[in-house]
Amino acid sequence: MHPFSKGQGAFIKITSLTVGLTVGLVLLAKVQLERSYDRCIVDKEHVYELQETFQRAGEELQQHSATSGGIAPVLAQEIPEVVTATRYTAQFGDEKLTLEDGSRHYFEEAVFADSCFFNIFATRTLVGDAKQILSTAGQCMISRRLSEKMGGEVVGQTFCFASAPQKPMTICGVYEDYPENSTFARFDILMSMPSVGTYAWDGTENLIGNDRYHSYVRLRPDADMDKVRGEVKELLQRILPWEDLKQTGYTDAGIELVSVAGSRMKETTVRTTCIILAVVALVMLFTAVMNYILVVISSLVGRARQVAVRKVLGAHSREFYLGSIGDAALHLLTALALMALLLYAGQDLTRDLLGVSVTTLFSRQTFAVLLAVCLTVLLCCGILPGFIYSRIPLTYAYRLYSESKRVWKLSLLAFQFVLSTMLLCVLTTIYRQYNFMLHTDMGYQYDKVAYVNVSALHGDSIYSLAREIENLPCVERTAAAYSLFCNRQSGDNVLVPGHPQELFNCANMFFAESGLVETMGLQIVRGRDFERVNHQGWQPEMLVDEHFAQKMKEVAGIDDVVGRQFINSSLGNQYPLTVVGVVKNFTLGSLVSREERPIMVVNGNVFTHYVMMKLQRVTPDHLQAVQQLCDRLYPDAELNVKLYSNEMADQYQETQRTRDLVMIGCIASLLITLIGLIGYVRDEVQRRSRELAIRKVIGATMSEVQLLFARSIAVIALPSIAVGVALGWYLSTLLMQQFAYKVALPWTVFAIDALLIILIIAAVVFIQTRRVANDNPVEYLKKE
Amino acid sequence: MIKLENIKKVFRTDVVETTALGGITLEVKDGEFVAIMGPSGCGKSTLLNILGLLDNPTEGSYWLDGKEVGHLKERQRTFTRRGQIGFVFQSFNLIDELTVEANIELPLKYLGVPAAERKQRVLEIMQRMAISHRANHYPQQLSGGQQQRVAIARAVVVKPKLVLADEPTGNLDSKNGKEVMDLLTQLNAEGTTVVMVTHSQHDASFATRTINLLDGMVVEKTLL
Repeated sequence: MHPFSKGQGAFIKITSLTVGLTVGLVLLAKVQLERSYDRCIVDKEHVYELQETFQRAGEELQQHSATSGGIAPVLAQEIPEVVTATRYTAQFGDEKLTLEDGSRHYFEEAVFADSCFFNIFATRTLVGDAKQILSTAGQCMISRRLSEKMGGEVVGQTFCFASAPQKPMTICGVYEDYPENSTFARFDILMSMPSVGTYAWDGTENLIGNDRYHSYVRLRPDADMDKVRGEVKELLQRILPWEDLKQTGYTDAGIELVSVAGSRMKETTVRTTCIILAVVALVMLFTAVMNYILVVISSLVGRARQVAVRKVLGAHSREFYLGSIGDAALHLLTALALMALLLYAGQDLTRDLLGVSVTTLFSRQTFAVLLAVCLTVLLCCGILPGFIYSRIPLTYAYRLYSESKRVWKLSLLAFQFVLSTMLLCVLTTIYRQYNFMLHTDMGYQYDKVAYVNVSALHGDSIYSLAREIENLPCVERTAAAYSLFCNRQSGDNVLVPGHPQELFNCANMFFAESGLVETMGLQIVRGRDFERVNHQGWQPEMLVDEHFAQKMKEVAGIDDVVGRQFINSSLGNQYPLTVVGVVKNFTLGSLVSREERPIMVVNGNVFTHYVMMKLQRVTPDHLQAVQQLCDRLYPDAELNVKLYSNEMADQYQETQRTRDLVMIGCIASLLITLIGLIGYVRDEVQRRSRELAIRKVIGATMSEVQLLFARSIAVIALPSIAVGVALGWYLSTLLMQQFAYKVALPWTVFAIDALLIILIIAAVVFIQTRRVANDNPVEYLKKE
Repeated sequence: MIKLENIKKVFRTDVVETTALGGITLEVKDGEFVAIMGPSGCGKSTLLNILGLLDNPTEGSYWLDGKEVGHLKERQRTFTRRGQIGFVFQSFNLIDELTVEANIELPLKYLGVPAAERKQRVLEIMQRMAISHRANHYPQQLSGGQQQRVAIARAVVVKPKLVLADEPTGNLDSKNGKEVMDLLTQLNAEGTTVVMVTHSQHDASFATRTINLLDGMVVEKTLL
């Protein structure tokens, strides 16, 4: 019996295994990568992230995964259980740097890191003395990939960031890239901590405020955590300026030590996504294996006599087991080879979908899990058929084997129906959630908005560019702005002049021009819009949202904020800002990380990162017109015109990825199920051809013959689909837990999913049975 | 009841063309019992298939009860066949997955007879064929003779005007064969037209007329 001989369903078996293994193994590998996230952290069990906590009077305790710059060094100095401590803070990202030879190179992220960075986040140092480099101002280390991109041999060269052109940094070392499944995968440049002051306000010694540092400590293995927490609390009691804190409205502040071991899987989004992906992966593998067994059972009609004859001639059961394992091994290897080809052809797609490369997916980290899965598949596909063959009675050597084994076949199909329906329900939920997030009213209109990142420009050139763009006939309005609405905003505390108490924290969008309201479609509900500043500069006036006005009424009893002055903790007492208008509430950030704080924005075009524009219509021609203008005015700045809606969609990339992965899983699962169903119906048609002919002779019409099959499938399909819907609903509710703003899950959607599956099954059955139902019954009876 | 005029049946493949019936003209009147005889490959079964509307002739006309049915489409053939023609095969052609009772009931279902009436008619025919005690048995649990009685019961339960039998005793011993022939004779005596293909001179002797075929042509018609 050749494993690829006709009638053994080799094509169906291999196709099922290939699809199942490709999707299943890729997803399991992704889950395994998440489970082994941040393996580069040395002695992970004893490493803790420092997170600041604070509380205002009458408010809940808040916790942030960042601290002020001086916290980690103080803990290292004062707490005996702390073996080592480190901190880093991001500064530049997704821009270009210019080497001293004038060549420009894109990099992903540049952070300030202190000299102990590699003690906790280990990677090989390829060139240079890391401790010494990260302790010296003006020096940095770069990743191997950036070094290679620059042509290697870059140590000793200096470069400037596009957004800080006059401030050179020297490359003194190269380190091995961090793995893709780590927090530091995007880090291309590690700048020494003493360099902070060159590029930003130096808060490295701060114990309070400027809380932008990610701080970590490693404790002694025998450290008693309760004791350490007590010591930290006692230390903070000693070193924090409690009187100042109380005066500004804080009632408590502290540092929480959060274990990094397993912290990735504790994140709701990651955990839920992993559960969903693992379910999809197991569904795929399970479905593929079941399909394999289904085909084996179905092909028994044709194979039983051969097996029985071999038994009569003296074949032992063991030979059937070995034979079927051999067949399964050959099919599995073929499927794995096809999988490799598929992955090679779709490596870009895989990276887009999973955010990691194929080589990382199938690396040492995941090898053991994937090998175990393949062996399990081999055993299931080999041993079960062997068992079935070994039980075929010898008497079948002399008569036709027509045992239907329908219970087996239908049970396997039932599982496949359950799983496919379940995945379709989950897919529908994710799809609807993604669309919900993408199209939810954020309180502003961005469908015609485009923007240019102008970090590479300086001074009046930004203002000039904004005006030139505004003069284009395809552009309605422009505004220079510090940040995009969908970005995470800095926070500042608000005070009333003459009162030391900080009233509340608000999201500070810093500076934006008067065109912002029109460009983004904001609505002024009280007061007026900004007046345009006709040069590079700013005015001490601000727009606030209704939330700000309401909060001010609650905490300071101010009924109308328009015309009132307030202090913002960033600009300080010397620059009181007058509220000129209140805009209708709008949402900053995204629905994943939605900004809940009141909002303020100051009139001006300084510290501008973006020029935003409202186009008359979003067409390739209009975008090209703006792009051409930018290229003509500032050819060296490499300005890129982008659609704001794309930026918004990027905020939901994780959801989109999950949606796409489940969609692939769902399509693949449906495909395997349909292959199984086609195989089942085909074999049933073959097995029952005589019966069908008889039925036709005694008066059954084509549709009655088809209904006969449809009914036999419906008996198993309908309950299976009901179970699949229930499971799908459960998984959907689980999935929804990760979203703060979620789409409703009405029963009608699940009913439509069920109906869709029913229609697909019905279509397959009717198409498959059409031929036999149409054929002349005499032909079948003749064969008898 | 049946009138055939110059019926031809040609089977074509890519390379071969075989004439199974070369121009048959014959008539079968209501209430006749006709035996069709001839050597293997002479076209007996092909003729029976055309008479039973299981197959269409390549040429010629076929009138059944005065209606031209020789070139109907599959669906029309099915509807014409229902309730008018009963079939009895040499190999019984019962459905193994159905009980005796369900096998007999099947044509009534396709005819749309209500359940209560179906039950009544099935009981009657089983009693008549002396197989009531086997109602819940499956075909493979029955002897050949019993299976053929079930097949006859299924053929006549719809009270067809015409019963077509293709070597109905071919798989039976002489005792069971005789019982089957007695049943067919009895049906014929009650007014059912019977057309039977057979090799057996003995079986043909039960018929009122014999038609002999050779190489797809009628060579002799004998009135008994």
